[in-house]
Amino acid sequence: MPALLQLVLATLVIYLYGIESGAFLKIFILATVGFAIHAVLPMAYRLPFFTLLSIGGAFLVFVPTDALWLLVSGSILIGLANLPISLKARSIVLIVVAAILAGARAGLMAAPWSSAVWPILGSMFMFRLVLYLMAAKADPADQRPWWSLAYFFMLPNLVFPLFPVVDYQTFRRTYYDKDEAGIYEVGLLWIARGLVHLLLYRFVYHNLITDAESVVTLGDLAQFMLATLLLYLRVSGQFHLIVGLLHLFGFRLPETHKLYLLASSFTELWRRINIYWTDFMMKAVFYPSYFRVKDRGPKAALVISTMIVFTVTWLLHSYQWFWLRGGFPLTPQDIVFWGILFAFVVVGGLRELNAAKKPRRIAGHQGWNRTRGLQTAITFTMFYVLWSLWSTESVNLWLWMLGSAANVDVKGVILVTSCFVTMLVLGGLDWKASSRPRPAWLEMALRPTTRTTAPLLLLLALAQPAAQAAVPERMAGAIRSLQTTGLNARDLTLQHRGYYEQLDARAQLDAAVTADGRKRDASWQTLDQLGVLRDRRDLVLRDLLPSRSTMWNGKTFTTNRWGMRDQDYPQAKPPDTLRIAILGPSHVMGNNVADGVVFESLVEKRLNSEFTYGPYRHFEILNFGVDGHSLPQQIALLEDRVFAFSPDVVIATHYKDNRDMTEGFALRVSSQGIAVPDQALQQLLSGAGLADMGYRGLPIPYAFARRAAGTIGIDSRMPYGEARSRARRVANDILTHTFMRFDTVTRARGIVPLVLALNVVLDDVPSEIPLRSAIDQAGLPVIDLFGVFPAERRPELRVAPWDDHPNAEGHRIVADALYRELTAFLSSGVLERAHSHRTSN
Amino acid sequence: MENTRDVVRRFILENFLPGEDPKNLTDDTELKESGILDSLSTLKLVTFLEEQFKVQLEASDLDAGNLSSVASIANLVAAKSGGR
Repeated sequence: MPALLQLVLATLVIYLYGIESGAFLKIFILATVGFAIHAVLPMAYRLPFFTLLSIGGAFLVFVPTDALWLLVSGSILIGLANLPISLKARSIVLIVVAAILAGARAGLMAAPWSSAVWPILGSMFMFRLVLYLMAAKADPADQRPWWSLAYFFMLPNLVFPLFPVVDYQTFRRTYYDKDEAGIYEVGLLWIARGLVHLLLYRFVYHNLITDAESVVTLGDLAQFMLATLLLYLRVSGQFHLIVGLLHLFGFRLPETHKLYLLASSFTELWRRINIYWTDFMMKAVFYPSYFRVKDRGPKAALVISTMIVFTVTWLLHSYQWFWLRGGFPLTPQDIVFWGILFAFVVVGGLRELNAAKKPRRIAGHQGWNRTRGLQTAITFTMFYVLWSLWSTESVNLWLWMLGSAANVDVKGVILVTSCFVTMLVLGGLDWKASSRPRPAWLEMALRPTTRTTAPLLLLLALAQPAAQAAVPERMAGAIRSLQTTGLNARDLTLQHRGYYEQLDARAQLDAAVTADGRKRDASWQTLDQLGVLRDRRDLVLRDLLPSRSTMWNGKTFTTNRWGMRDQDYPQAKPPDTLRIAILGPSHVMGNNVADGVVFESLVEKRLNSEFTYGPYRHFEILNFGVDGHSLPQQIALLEDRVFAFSPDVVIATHYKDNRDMTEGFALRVSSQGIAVPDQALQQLLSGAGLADMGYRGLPIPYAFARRAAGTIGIDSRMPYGEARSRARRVANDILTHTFMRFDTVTRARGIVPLVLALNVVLDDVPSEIPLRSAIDQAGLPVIDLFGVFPAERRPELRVAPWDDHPNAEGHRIVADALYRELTAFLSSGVLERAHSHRTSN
Repeated sequence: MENTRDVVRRFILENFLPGEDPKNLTDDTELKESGILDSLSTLKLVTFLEEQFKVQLEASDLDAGNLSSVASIANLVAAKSGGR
């Protein structure tokens, strides 16, 4: 009964925090109900019941046809593994069938099921078939139908494609091999621990993750490395949940992770992090290899077998990727990562082999051990540096990022020191200390029931709005981030994450995108596909071709003879006309809305019909918006073309992603060697080291290394990651400079500059305009429309669920707000002041 | 005269648990789950068993079930030596 109560608490936590997917909640509820029945069934019926529950679960997760295909194809594979022929012949048959399936997975032939089935089918069979056949070799009579079905169709596997490699013999051997209440108790404890891990992961994901390109100081570097390592909490959380759930049905499987961050050597770390994988490698690769070469002596045999294990591990990670996600990635950083890890593990292994007898304890208290603590702190530090390599896009970017350690800051010193000291203290403790007498309250607190119930109750309390209202806002924000189920800001721009992130989180996030209906329609055209854009070899980089008329996703798209997405205007300003030129990116140009409904067009109509101002009889707004234009491109276009139209007012558009777009601008200008007539901008690019970016030769990080390579005749270039990082560091300076230039070049001509702060229809609108102080410092007036789209109406104001540009109604809302602000701005007498300034000069 | 279990127990105590109270290592103590036997100590144990009991072990004999306790190791030795 207490177990059932704890399961209900866990279900509530999963529901309130939106843990994993909706399918997981269904499976967890099914497991809870199933556990209540299973626990009271006679022992003989329990295994069939669990198997049928797992099979039934497939229909909760998949549409019926997919569920049937999963079960039928899985059953065929199990049948083939049990054919009444020799083990060798069975293995050959299975390899042939696996090759056919691999062909279908690779898209060489059509599969009768949807793409959702592949990761689960792959996960169920890609490794377990090997262990199943190995068990068949050891004991041919061991493969009874219920056991086989239960082993491959394990209930949690339906929702967790990344699954621990459960050994068949262990699966069988540990089934109800101890007191069942104790098995359930451990299972519940691991479920609670898994939930805590997943929520900690979420906290890290939403609050601590940064990009390798954004790393500038030691503090950034330490945060990046720690956060990427802590993302592994997702794997350990899921594995705890999986094995915890299996415990509820009597499978007393061993722990999947064991205090791995407190390992005192790489050899120990290898044994403790993902223990099932290590055991799988030991059983399937290490021992067989060792026995084949043990005649060469223990040291040589150890080195050879370990090398084989790491090579196979590296390849199997790509093999796993193939079945779960498609593709077979083999990257240089994988080779370096596994190579270094192999070296550390083999050195540790040889030391252990030679070492004197190592004192261990079955139980008992050895006190704090300084040497062990120091070894743990060093291992942890080295591991999180190494892990960051595996989580960075390229070796070159990682090497470049490491250079940030030279920029020592307070945050960096605090982070590095506190981590080291924490690991020193925790690593030196004897975690097996159980025989030491403890006070009664501590005994109570450490009981599994307490350790299961207390965090669940705490999490439930924290999920209550009243509790969040009662704590400081910063803490409430952190708690809310635990309940956030979407992508973090960087993943929204599809940044690279670590192997497991890409493999598991990304796969599930892709699914979430589909579930939200935000997956792009295959027929949806991008502007690049329309043939209306052209590249330029100047700072504008690209603009619209003149006099084009086409249909874009069902909407008219027309450019005038001057290459504006607008009606035709003469270049010479007509008399008595107030002419406004607007520059900006896609949402100013009007992505995926028809001609004439873009907000500038609506404002122009309204000005002409409703607004009276000074001597002007007509108002014109010329739309110079071009898809993808950053602020520097807007100002380059202003100087290149707009002044010829004699505008009275020029509006440049500033938006949330302007910094990212400016980063891209700097990269493109530098990589293509485009001439930069603006000396100050040229100095910024040179100062950032982008001037010698180059585009041919061997990518080598750091200018000094490239120079050194040059002296020995190696043609080199800056790696793309380093260039991106350098561009990111200078992007805000470029923007600040551009605001100043915008003000200077317009006012010099007696033109009124104006900044329009306007985004596409975002969910996470910044509370402040980025670089507002730089805009104010330049003396530029601002019309702030960052909050123009009401939060509750945002989904209906987008052109499509997968495209955040405003639709016709969104443009109407912008037009209403801009008309109001613009007329107030003009009425304030800015034009008169500009004209008098021009006259006086 | 020591039986197989005693010999195995003594080897484990001397090599993997120096200083441990022998009473804590029973015939059924979990060797793998408690961290006493890892991959390298397993190799040392295998070498010892082969030399001490003149048996020939194979990789497939190193299943966790065969080496999970002193008792199971003694059973493995008995099976390999044909019940000697």
